[in-house]
Amino acid sequence: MHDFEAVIGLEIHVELSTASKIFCSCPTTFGAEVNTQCCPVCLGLPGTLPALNRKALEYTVKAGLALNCQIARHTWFDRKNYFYPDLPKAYQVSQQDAPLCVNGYLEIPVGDSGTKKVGINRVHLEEEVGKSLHAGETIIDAVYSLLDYNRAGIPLIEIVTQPDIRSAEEAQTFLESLRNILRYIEISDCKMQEGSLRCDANISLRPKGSTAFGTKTEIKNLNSFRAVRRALEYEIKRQAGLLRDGLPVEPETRHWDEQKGVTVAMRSKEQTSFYRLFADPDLVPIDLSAEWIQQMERELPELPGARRERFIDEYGLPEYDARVLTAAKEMADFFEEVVKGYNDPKTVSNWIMTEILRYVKEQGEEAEGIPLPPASLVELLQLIEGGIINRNQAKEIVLPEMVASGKAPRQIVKEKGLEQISDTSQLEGVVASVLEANPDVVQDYLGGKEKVMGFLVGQVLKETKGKANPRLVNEMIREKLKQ
Amino acid sequence: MTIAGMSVVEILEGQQRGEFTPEEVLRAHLDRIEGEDVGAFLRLCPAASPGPGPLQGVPVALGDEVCTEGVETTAGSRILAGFVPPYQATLAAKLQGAGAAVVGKTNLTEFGMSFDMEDALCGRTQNPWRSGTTPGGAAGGAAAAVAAGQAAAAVAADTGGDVRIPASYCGLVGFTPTYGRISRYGVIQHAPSLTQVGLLARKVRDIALLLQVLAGEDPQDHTSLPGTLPDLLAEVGEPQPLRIGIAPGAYKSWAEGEVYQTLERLWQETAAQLGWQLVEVDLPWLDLAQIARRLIAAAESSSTLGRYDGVRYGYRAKDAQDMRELFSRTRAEGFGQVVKGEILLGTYILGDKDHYEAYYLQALRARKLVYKSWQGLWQEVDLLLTPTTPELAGRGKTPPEIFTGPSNLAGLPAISLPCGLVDGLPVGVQLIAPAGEEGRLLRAADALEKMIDFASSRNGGGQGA
Repeated sequence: MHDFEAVIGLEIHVELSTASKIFCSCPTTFGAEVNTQCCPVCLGLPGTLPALNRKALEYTVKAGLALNCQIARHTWFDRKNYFYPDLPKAYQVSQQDAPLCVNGYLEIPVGDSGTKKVGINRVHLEEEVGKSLHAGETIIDAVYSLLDYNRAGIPLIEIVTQPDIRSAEEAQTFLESLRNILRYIEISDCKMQEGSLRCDANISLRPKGSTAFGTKTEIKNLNSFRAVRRALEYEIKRQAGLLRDGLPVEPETRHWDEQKGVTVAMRSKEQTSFYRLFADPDLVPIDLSAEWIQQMERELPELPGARRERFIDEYGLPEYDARVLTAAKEMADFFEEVVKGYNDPKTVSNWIMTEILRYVKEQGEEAEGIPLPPASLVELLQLIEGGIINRNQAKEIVLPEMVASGKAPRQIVKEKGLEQISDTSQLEGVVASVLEANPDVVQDYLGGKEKVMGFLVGQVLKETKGKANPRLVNEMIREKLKQ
Repeated sequence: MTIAGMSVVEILEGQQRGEFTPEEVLRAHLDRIEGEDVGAFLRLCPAASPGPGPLQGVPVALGDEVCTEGVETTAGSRILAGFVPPYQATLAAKLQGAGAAVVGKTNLTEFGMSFDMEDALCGRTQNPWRSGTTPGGAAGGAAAAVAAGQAAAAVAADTGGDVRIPASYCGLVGFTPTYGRISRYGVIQHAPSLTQVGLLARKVRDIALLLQVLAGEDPQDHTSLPGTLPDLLAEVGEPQPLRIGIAPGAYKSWAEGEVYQTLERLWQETAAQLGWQLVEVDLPWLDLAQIARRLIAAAESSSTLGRYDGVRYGYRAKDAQDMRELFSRTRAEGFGQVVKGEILLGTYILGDKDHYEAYYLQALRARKLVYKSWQGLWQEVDLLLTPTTPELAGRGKTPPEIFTGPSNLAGLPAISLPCGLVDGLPVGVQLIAPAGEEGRLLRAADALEKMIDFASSRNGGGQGA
């Protein structure tokens, strides 16, 4: 019986977050009323011509640089011709023979502390097509179809990996790392649910130890990281089952059915058409100077790997903390902002990794970011340090309220009457009555059993409904029993 | 002298001297349109009005492939019947901004995809020089309008001679600038890499004036040329000693006898007086260039015309049951035979790896070869002088673009001037210059035009003179 190894390559489409479209000045805002963000150019009206958005070129080159790619010095656009109603010109301006970026890699974490390089075959720039909505299963049997061209002409990059990924989990990690890095360099918001990051997966199996490639299938309709992982897990099992039974894997495109949790054959790979590709005569070839490429490199912000190293060096954080904190740009930015106001990096790190991260995770995998401003966490930490509230109150009462209402911690503490009693005159009476009510325990303490102090402090806290400052109570009891 | 039939320069000077007003100029041309039906116009622009500017009151005709905001624009195709662009071609906006009056949209072969005006689908256009004779194409309507005095000048697309061939047949000056000199934005094209916006007028100086207005980089056309031209009008009129290339061998083998003899007489009689040194050159690649141009045009057409699918605008097949039927019937019913043939040819040569290698790649290699040949030629000569067309209007045996197509393959500026009559029909001479040398080209053409004095040679020949 064979033990199989999965060979996975991903094709990822990412919409660039330029203000305007790739060949015209229409805005790219998501969710606008249908067909309100289009013009003669992106609708491909007769006689109109493309004018290249320079930002789209910059963003693509930055993506390539962040993914350790070589940048083409001479490049051009091709026309990919096919008929479809959401494709206004009946060709998509894309790059076939001269992608802007080639031969890169992305380092992803594997296991607890290991890393692995996944090769990037190419990153090229193209235009987004419109959106169709069919009144029926497919466009062919639809009663009618509705078209929205708002999306048509948004700049899109296609990232193609080498077949270096070996498991469904690795595929998900790769996508998470990729999204993180693209967000770091601020070229896309990478939202899978809005379609600004989309992924197709190619997968084949081979006996472990083999270097040959098996027959691959392509999986489409992967709309979340979870879908990518589940679909690949399913497909690995499906292909392994076929191979074990001595049956062939058909080279085909398969559709992921999220509801049923299965992949379904869509069309045979052999039927894919030749797109009559040729260089687009409406766009002049582009020559990039070494200086310009260097300029793009200089404009890149600090990338996750470098930032992780810096967090270890500069803040003395453990490797694990540094990795978690830099896994999302928003989180790393948040950490650094908080440390500016509360200079105890490890405490800040602990709070973010345990408490804050819990709220982030509750928002799902497409977290919009940290649900509170850095200044609020600074204030919360100062309240604890100043003895105004204790850690438990901070975690269980104040923080949830901060996230829910957006109110400042000091205000919440006030409204909920949480201030610790740190005034000895207010505690004097309670301490006296607790000592009086527990003569045996007092005797034990005086006899040398220091441990019982905890019980006495606890009794005072109980009497004050947890508001007494425990450190102060401790001191007061000690003082009292000295006499 | 009547106003209709004057050159652009004459109109401007007459207005300046107070002899007539811009309104009178427009009226005179509109009267000529009403009075003399040569089938030049597909439709008139009702809002035509002259304004102030360097082309104040100059009536200009536009080929119907030039998009005019609010005025139906069909490029001579049924598939665009009823299409009213919500935008203006850059060149149309520039003309209006310069005070010209756009009088109407002229006939052309469907999408300008044939040099034979008999292929036009939207009506028959006559050659004003002889009724029943073709004005040449694709811009046959534009040339007929100017030749008949219905407009002082015209603008139309040229992908291989579409402006210069009818200029030659209709006794006009036809000009294509360096590729990218005039913006293509808003000009409906079929083969963008070959399309140069061309000008038609009576005189070389008219061309210089128009070019001055229309030239310039356009942010909406990625292929438009940066930089500005010198004051062309100020520069014309200073004759220069030039090396002029001629290829008698090639001309004899492609052109009919009388056309060749007219040209030969011309260079023999004028060269010395113009200070031109004639240099005999060889053009062994003319037929290669012709085939390459044809294949590239077909390939680009098959892609560029894909957008006419009935989904968003233009003709849409009735009662289509699904997407495929909508696409195929819209295109089957909307396009004419010539266009369908070109699309099929283009799809064939791009649609399969072997065909792509054998035809499209070969055509690109041939284009590169032609380009290099031009580079070599410019080492020896300053301008090349050729017949514009190998035959007179209406003969139709040799590909009419044999001498005009090669400049489009390399994006070079070229001009055709009338240089005589054979059997009462005009013969054109073409000058071709290196890229960017419009100044040199127009100076030489202006000097040659003065030597020819075509206006007197056509007395009694054509109408509108």
